[in-house]
Amino acid sequence: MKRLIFISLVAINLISCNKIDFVGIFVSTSPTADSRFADSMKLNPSGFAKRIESSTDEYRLFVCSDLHINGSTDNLDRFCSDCLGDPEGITAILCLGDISGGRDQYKLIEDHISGIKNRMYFTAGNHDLLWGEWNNFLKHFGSSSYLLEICTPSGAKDLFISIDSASNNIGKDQTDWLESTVFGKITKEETYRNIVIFTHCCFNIQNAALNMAGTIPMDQTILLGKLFADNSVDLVLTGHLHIREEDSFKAVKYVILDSMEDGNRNASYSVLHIGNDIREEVIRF
Amino acid sequence: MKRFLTILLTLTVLFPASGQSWPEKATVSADGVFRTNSLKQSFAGLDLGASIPIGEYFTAEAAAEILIPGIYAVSATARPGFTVGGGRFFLDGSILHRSLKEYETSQLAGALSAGYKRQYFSIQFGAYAMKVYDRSEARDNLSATIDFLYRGSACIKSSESKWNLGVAVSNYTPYEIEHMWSPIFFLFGHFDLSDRVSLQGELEFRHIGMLSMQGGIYAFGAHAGVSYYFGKKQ
Repeated sequence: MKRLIFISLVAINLISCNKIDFVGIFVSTSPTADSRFADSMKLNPSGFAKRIESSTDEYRLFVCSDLHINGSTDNLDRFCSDCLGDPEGITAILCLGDISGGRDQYKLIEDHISGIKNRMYFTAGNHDLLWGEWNNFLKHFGSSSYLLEICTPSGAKDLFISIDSASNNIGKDQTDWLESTVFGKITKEETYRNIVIFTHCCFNIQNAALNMAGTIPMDQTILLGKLFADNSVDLVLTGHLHIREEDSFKAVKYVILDSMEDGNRNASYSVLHIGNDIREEVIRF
Repeated sequence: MKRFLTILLTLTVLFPASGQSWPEKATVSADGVFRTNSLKQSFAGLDLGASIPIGEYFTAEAAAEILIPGIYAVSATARPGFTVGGGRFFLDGSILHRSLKEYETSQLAGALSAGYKRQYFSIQFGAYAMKVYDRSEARDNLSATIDFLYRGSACIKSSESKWNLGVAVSNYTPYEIEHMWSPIFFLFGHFDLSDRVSLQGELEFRHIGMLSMQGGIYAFGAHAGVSYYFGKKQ
């Protein structure tokens, strides 16, 4: 009887845990990749979430990933402070997913990023889907599949493509969109100075395969690797692994960013200097 | 450890290996294949396999797969083994090569594992390393990654029965290796038409997402074909 009570208490504790969605481990509690893509497209039917005018030909972007906010916001607050205090001015801020690390955190996050939210562009991470929170993500942070175009005074344009990989699966519809619309039409009709992909889950490169959270399946890594290479993508930014990695596949550079989670000794974010080429500066906490 | 031994002993009693004969007979097989991948692309083709026992303690296997459009895979396995407690303890050393013509990419993997097989179940654990070769002009090969390899299977009847059905979970096939966190679930069976000829079939369901990921089946495969045994199967 004592054992039964103990097991019941442990089970209740696990199920009600605010950090791990035990149901979501085995059964999806958020829509599939194709459904999420449809939701994202409803918010930006043209594919473009925003076109930004940069005041200089060379500009800077801040990029953060894997904050896993669950009550504590120390690193997020410092990141916001760095963004707001940046003397050169930031054109945009990319957040590569897993901004949430627990249940019902979006209101707290929104309160803390209020000073920079109008310059932030998000892509969903796997933790942002737990407890069926996809709809909350959409409500608070918007689409997860979209294009961001930055135009400079000299007429150069850079294209930033957010891909929803939150369930480790790009999905058929999103892949079709990338093949037929983004790389089949948009990048054919417009000449872009730089093309940057940003997404959450990392591609199957280097040590990524040993990561417990898994990586994008090999067939998608290979298909998208070819697609990115054929269409002159300059940089692919991902998170998810929590360990920084750099690699190259078919002459395209892949970077996995560190986690910016509180308590991570290697926590960092990146500053991208965008000009005729792209230079990355890693800022450690 | 005590608990593990108890489970192993219980399984040994529940699923006795009496009648199991080693080595197995030399076999050739041919299967028609239909498969989807995680992007719902469809592939169809042919699997060819051969298994040759060399003495009592060694088996060599070779397999080839041709899928349209443009996927070619071959594998070779060396399997030394010996009888323990009525079952077969074995070591597997495999090499796999897979070429994806459309994507100018090839994969080469080497795997080492150890397993134990009885009439009603088998378990196998090991590790693999993989290299992804870029066949485009850039030649940016991806370095080898090391990951774990596993397979567990159970059947409803003895492996020497005229027909059988079973289930398995694994992260590899003779032609492909997936991450350890992307298990492939199999439902398989066979029916012996005669002492030398057997029909076999297999369904596979590929799953993505474990632990903090959102789970779900993302790809499907079906195999059906015939095997020929050189010598009576039983």
